[in-house]
Amino acid sequence: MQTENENAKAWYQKWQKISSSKKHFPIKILHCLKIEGLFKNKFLTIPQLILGSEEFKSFETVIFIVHQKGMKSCSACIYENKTFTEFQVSTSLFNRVSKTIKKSKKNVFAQNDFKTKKIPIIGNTFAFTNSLSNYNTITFLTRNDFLPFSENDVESFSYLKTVFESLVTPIIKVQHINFNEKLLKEVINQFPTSINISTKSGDKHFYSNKSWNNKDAEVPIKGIYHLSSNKDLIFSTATENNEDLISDIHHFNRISLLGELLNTLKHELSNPLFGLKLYCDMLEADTGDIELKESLQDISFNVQRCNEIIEMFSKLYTDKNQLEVVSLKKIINESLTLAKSEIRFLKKNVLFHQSLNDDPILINTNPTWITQILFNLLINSAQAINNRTGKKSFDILITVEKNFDDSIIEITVDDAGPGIDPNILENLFKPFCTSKKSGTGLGLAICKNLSQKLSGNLIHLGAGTLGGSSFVLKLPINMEDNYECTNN
Amino acid sequence: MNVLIIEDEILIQKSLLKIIGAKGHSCIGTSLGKESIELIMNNEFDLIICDLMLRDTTGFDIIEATKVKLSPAEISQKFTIITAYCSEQVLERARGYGCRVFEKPFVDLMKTIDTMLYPNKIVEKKYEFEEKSTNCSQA
Repeated sequence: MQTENENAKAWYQKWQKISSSKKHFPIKILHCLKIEGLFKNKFLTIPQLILGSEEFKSFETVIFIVHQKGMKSCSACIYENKTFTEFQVSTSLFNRVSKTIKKSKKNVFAQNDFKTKKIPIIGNTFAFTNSLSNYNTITFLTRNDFLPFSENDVESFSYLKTVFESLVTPIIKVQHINFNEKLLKEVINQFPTSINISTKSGDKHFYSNKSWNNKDAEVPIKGIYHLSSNKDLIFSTATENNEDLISDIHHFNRISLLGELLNTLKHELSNPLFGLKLYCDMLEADTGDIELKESLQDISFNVQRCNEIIEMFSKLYTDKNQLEVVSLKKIINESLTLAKSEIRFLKKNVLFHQSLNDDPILINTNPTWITQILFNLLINSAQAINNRTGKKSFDILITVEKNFDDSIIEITVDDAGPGIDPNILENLFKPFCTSKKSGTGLGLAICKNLSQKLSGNLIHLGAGTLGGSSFVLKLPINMEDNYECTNN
Repeated sequence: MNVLIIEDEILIQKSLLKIIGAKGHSCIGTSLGKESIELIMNNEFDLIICDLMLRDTTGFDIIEATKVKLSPAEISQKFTIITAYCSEQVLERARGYGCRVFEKPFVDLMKTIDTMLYPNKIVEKKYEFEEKSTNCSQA
């Protein structure tokens, strides 16, 4: 718990750092404009782009100021002699200079026109402003001398001014996506649990965070390029792949809690029961009265039964995965005993296929899990049948069959209830799907999970022979053979 | 043989008293820890069959309290623990005193009681068996 909190804290700090680094985004534009798409394999920045062109070869310095809307200060850079120098400009200065440029009808300015020393302009300069979606920019272009510009220069500059927006917008867009991608990757990487990201249009993308424990591992993020350019993203933590995990966690919690309770119960009850049985047997041995002897035998027998039931329950809630060869008939009987409180007033029957009538049906499996699945199905059926209709011959029918090559056994539980609500049919085996008012919606999810752990499967067959719901549990006769029980 | 049975489940206590008494031993039963300590202090017992979870104390507390009278060798020889909570910790602690532990409920009642009363007999039998098996392998 401790380390989890610390991890979350570290993640949060990192996230704050990333969010605050957003402010420096404009600087990054200046530095790392990768215009791969525009100029094959050439990495150029806007100042480089301008000075590199034929028209502006004779110019020496470009000053580029970017104001990101909503920011208090502006990022600026000066590019001369093939080197960049960064500096900051206040927004008020940016606005003032920008106003001066916009007011003027010409494009040429003198060093003193802007009445500031914070922008290091020398001599005469071209200047123009531009508005690009989230950014306002000012570009200065100068030869660092006081000579007037030629007509050719003015013409070229006018051209640059008109094409500037169409030239820079795609660059910023690409840069923006790169930046968002990095940000998103970072967030996903650092998020303490797996995240499911989907777009509002319904495209689903799942991103599992595998690097939480291994910081060097690269997160496999497909299609993040598409995602980072999409504003309408939905982030959620519960994902399809998480459902197994969630049901496992609940299963584990339930088992450990019930296991502990049953352990206490077992010990508290088995001691007095042991005393009862001991003394009963002794009295029985002592007495000559036949009627008393019989009564004492009954008491002793019932005590033994109590012990067996307690034993069964405590077995049901241990999470041991041990394979053993057991009789399926015995397992079914045990499940019926365990569910007795719910099914005692219902007409029930167990039908075995002809070939299995005299067969104990020995299978190599985990009997506890099968009992748990059958117990759950029986309880579900019993709760669904609120009132006995009396029309059907049985309320609950269990049928047991083997498949054609004797590798798989099929146990079908049919009931005469109202069947599964069609609205929940699609999510029937998903956790938290329930039609009961006080249900957790975990029963069938756990059963499905357990059946798969048994190399088997649990399938809903729709309306069965009794008209209600019908579930079939398919199990390999020998779990070690690893049969695949598919939907066929 | 003088036997003390400390067991708070009254039917188990009565049954043990009856069976062991029928075998010709003199035995006393108690369900209280305090009373059992007094009995041990004032009497000489050859065997003390002691339940672990009593209402007022535990079997290990009784052993601790009787240490003033009994030597560690006597404790390991006299005390036999019976318990329904046979966890690894319990076994570990019992091993520390050198006591034998029997888990309740007993599978074979008469055999268990015989083992309690005559622990050495079983060892002898085991020895005989081992000798027999070596003879077999030689043949």
